[in-house]
Amino acid sequence: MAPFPLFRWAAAVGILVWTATGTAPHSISDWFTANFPWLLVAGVLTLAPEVVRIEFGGLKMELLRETREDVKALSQQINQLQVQQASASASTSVHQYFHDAAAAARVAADVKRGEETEAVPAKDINWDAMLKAALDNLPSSRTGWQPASRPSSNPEPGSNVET
Amino acid sequence: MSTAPTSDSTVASDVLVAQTVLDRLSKLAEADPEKAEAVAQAIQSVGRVPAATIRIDLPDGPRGAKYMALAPSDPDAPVIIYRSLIPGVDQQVPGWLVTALLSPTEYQRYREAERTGLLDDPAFQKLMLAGLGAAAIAWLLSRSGKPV
Repeated sequence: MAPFPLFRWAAAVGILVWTATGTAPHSISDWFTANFPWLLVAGVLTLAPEVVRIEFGGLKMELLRETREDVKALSQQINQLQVQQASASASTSVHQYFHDAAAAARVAADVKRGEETEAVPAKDINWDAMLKAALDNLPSSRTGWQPASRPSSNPEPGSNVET
Repeated sequence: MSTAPTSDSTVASDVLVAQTVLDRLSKLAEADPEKAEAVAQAIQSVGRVPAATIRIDLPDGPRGAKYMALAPSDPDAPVIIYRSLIPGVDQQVPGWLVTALLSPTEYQRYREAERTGLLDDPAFQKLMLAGLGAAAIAWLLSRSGKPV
């Protein structure tokens, strides 16, 4: 609403009353002609703010509409991005899940096979012979390696294991 | 962490090695002798050096089995999985049974599955049962001499 409506309309009515009492008209046209400037002022005073309000309101509505459209477009983009991210994340999670699940199942199967087969005492195994036998099957270009000496009573393996 | 028995001999007399582990070690020796040597040394040190516990739940495995993981000195060599021998299950006690060798990648992936709680997932447990069944069938077929 335009500002000060009561004041404006009171002012307009006051002008009309003042012009009507100040100059007793012989006819409407005479009165209208004589008081035209004041009527114009009253009309402007009454209508101009409304016109301005309507224009301003229209501009405001237009800005509001554009803003809402922008917000809607941005919201759609954000939703689309979120959907893409969620999809990518879900895909990665599923992939990781099955990758890890498959690895864990292989480990369990390996251990299970070890549980079901015969076991040989480590002290009865001829480690050097076993490793050398494998070496004997290698091409001559790869036989530079020789088994290291047997581990001492304070062996190195395990030093990099988390405990 | 395990409490390791001590031994004065260079090879712990109470360590048993599953035949599947020896087979895999032989293949590793052909491919990479240095890694095989590192694994062999680590196997002989089982029970005498600290190792990490690893949770392996076998559906019909030995009850009360607590598995351990021992990494050889070569970080690229397979990790050794073993457990203590159990009275009533194993004939020889006390001692250790080396049951598997895991590639470092497999080991890390298993650790990740363990860390994320995947092992508690019912879907995973069904998958593992199916995998174990398939592995058991394949193993039985290979023992009977039929092609897998």
